[in-house]
Amino acid sequence: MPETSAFLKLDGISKHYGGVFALNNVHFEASKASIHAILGENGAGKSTLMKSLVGVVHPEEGSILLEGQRLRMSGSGDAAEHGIVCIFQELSIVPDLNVAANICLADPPRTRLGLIDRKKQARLARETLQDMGVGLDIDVHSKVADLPLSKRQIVEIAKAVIRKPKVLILDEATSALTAADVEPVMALLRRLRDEGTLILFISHRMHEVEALADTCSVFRNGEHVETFATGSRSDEEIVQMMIGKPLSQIFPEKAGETPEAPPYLETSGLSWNDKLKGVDLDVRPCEIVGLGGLDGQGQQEVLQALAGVLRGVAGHIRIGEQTEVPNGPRGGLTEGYRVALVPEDRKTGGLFLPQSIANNLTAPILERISPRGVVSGSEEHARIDEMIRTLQIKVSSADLAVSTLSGGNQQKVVIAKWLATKPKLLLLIDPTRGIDVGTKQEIYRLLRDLANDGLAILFYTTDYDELIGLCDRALVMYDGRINAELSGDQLTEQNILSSALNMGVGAEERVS
Amino acid sequence: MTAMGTLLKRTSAAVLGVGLSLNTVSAETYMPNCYIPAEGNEKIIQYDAKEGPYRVALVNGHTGIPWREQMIQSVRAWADRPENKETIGELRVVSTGPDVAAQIAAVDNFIQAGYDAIAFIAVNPTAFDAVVRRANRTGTVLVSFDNPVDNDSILRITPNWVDFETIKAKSVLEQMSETSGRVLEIRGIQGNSTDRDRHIGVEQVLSEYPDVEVIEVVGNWDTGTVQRVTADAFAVHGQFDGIICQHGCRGVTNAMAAADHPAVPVGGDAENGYVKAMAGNQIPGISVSVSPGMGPLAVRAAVALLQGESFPSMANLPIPNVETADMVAGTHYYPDEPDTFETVTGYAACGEDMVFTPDELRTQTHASDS
Amino acid sequence: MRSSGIFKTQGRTLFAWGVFAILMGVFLSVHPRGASLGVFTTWSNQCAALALLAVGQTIVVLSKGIDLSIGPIMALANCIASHLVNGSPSEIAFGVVIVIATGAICGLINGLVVVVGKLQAIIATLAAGAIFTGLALLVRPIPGGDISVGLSDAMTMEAFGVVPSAVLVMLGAVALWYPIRRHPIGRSIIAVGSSEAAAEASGLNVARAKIAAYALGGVFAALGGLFIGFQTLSGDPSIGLTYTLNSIAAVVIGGTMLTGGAGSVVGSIAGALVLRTIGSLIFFIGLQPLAQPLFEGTVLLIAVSFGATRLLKIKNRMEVFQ
Repeated sequence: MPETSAFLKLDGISKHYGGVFALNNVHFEASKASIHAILGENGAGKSTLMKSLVGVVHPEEGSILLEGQRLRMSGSGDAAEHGIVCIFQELSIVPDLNVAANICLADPPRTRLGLIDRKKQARLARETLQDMGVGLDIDVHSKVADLPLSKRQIVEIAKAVIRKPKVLILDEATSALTAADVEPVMALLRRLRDEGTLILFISHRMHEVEALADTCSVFRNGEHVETFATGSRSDEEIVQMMIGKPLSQIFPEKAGETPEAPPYLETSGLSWNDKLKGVDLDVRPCEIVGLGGLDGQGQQEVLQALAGVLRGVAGHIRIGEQTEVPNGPRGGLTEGYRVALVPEDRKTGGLFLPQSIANNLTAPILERISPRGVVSGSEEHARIDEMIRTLQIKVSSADLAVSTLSGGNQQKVVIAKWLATKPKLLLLIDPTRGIDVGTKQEIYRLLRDLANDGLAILFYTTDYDELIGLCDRALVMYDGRINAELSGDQLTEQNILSSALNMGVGAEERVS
Repeated sequence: MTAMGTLLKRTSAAVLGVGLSLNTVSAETYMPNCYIPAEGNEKIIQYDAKEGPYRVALVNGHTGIPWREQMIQSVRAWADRPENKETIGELRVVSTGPDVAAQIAAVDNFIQAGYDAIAFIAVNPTAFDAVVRRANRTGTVLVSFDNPVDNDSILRITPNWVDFETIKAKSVLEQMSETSGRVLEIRGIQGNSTDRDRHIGVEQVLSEYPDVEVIEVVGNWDTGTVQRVTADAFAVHGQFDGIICQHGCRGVTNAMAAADHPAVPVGGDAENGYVKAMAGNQIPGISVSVSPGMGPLAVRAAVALLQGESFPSMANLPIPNVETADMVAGTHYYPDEPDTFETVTGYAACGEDMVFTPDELRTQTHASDS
Repeated sequence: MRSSGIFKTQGRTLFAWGVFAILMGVFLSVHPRGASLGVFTTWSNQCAALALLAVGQTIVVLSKGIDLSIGPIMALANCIASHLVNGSPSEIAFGVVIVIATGAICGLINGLVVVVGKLQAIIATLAAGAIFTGLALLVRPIPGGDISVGLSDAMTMEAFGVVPSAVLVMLGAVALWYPIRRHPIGRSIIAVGSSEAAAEASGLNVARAKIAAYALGGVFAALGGLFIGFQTLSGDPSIGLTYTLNSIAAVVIGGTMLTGGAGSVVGSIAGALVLRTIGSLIFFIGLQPLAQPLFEGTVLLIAVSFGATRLLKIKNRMEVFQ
């Protein structure tokens, strides 16, 4: 073991949340003056690993060594003391301060009186940007909140670079950059490497990884799978490493053939801000269609646009007979639309946690069960009993607070609540996140039954198994567009991942 | 104490320059039977005479109290009389609520706006030193009444609360069948100087009746509270031989009726409901009044000061009172007026112009503000 | 380019001053004596205490907190001042120092409860406010006491016979804040209020910034209590009642977001002036002062609506709730 030679060394790091390991006994080494890419699926543990390195997450076991020294850190301030600086995926810039103040935030230049020297601060900021060779058009006096996202990303990078780190971590830090800025940033990273910096680089853009990284490490399920020199493995091999596990047989049987009914939902050229760049899709009754791909490629926005939550959506949409989107969630309840969106976070957008199960279940249909302006008690009870029975929600009493239920049963309440509106199109965002396998299975069964009864279902999931196991068709999104439509035999994890990473492993040819 | 001394010296030095003179009591002050120089008062307030008509302001604090509303109506009624219309060119009335800073701001505003005189009931009688100094600098006449400020460089008008309660207690004890027994004393808001002085008045009388036992309860000057604590006292102690109540005394007559308490002597306020009940049920006793007519008295004093008259720095008022045997409908109580109406509309001892009829008070509107 | 930039970054502040200028113009035109030094002195005396509290509240709000105990701190400071701020010059100086220190300690307690106790600011400061009110009642159960007449004259009359001292007091409050704002502590207060996660990720000391914000809020509250003392020459434990909500109203009118991070002390002073000028204006128009809350509320609503125009631009409805 060449223990002394490793510049950065992780020794048996473990971290778990509840019963799930985010990192499981990770051993990892990286050397000075290199660019080291970290690869893995969503939830592979990459972000937790990086957060451990900057002291934001505290691993339960293991140690981190930098230049042979064991590090103890209680926050990103400590990490920076040791020379480890991270450019987070969620930007760490302060929107209400100006560019110069942000760049110098951690260690502003002072006057002799101990006050911040604003002239020097502006000069330093300008010099840093000049040195980086990007963002030369940024006025260091402008408020960061007024900058577009791509420029904020540059400020974020400058903020890290000015600290002259020994270890610079980029967590998807290039994803927001404009094409014109990517090349200078890459040149900057190469120069920093040549000056001795270790750069840990998380990116889902395979071509960037190939262009930049000297070394790659693949993570899966919180474990370090393998580290290898860039170029020594084929794309297919890398994808295989990232997938790893066999597909579990927990899904109900699919319909098998494409339903004949005309699509209930059709869109073409759907676009919104810079998140959606022309989405064409259709969903038929009796069909489950999955939206897949890496996080943040526009999947949520597609569903939100269809539910009428977004303003200023361009493109053609047809839902049933209507050619416009409903006017918000309430609009989705009106005759002619019959659209229900089950939101992403059931704790904030889906449920009134402290209220009773009964109150939650009937919230969207209160007007329908209140014939004379007053909620009809008998009608309400009948509806609640029916919902609890069909969804097999395990409750002792409908009067208990929803917060007392397990995550899976909470999710059933959310779905039941929207099914009560008798929708014809059901939109779901990651409906099984954080739910145990048993309840997942019940929810899959439920969705399939609903589809068999004629419902059109469009849902976004981060779990590839669900795309493969549950969906009749999977639409893989990349950068605001649908990159591939996969069904039948083509619906494999390998194909999904290839399309998700935009590696184009012949996905286009295989579209059915 | 020394700090207070310097303060007074500074104050007088400051005000002398603008034409106000402070003398020791020697000459006769204005209407001494009405504005009675308080015991121990040694200061005389006098300003240089000014030509009318005058701009006068009335600044009230707390609102929603029937006494205060009637007081404001009385001031308006008085200023509206033909003989006063010539001297009072303008009367402005404001109520500022319980916020002392707002009240100070109101008085300051009137001073700045060049009003000749301002009569006010202080929300907090200790907070006006600075205002008084500012008024004296501009030569504005300030008259503090009802809740007198702690500053003897302006005229302050208030009943002598010790004497006030002495009259009441004496009458009750004299009307009792025996000079022994049990008396209920119903006190006001604790910690307030008025309650303290009134209690001293009661104690002074009772010290001459060693065989009388006193039970004290707190009624907070509020009819409902008074009724509750009186009923409680009846329940605990059985019967009383006499009852002395500061204010809200309709509560006493109500509680007596409810408990079938014998008609023992009661001393109380002059609210219509109480006086009506006393006269109607032939309960022996007395009604002693602090009249809302104090408002017009204060304004009249302000006008007199502007005309060059002199006043004691602290003036006490006559204390109108009537015993049950002498109560007459339409004079001492009004069957058609609300229970909260103050039956003594003004201080008759201070001149005929100080008496108001209920009708005259009712017809006053806010329009007379400007 | 430059001027439009100023309007963009300081738009809300300029808006508040614009509203104030209009109100002041109307006020002077309806005032029987018009513009004169005496009128300005009276007017500025009425404004100064609220302006000081508004500055304190702004600092707390900038850190994304709120101080519901700012009125009680002011009352406590006022009551302590009525015991200590009198006598010889050295006694007076000692008293002033103790009063300001009291404010700082009260604010420090607020900050510690919020940061260390991890309580919501709205609850923590509400409870602390009740405690401070209780202390004020202990210090001075009924209004009274004594405050240096000389100092009071100096602070409530005109300096050099040309400027109302109270105006200088308000300018002084701004002059006190700006060095703090340029100090790393002030910078971290704004950073924490703007984005606590970003401040933490940038290695700033979040806890210290928050505690400092509350402590500074307490200091300005104490200065407000001191000024009330100069106006009334006495201490009153109930003086703070209306000031807490008015200070928040001033902050909002002045354009500081209650969500923290963005705002200006200068704007809040304009907010305080607006509220107080409305009071004076109503007085001289001849309306009952009791109608004042109605008009203050209307102005507040307009100011808040102005701030809410941001929501009209939001393209994702769900973001409105974030």
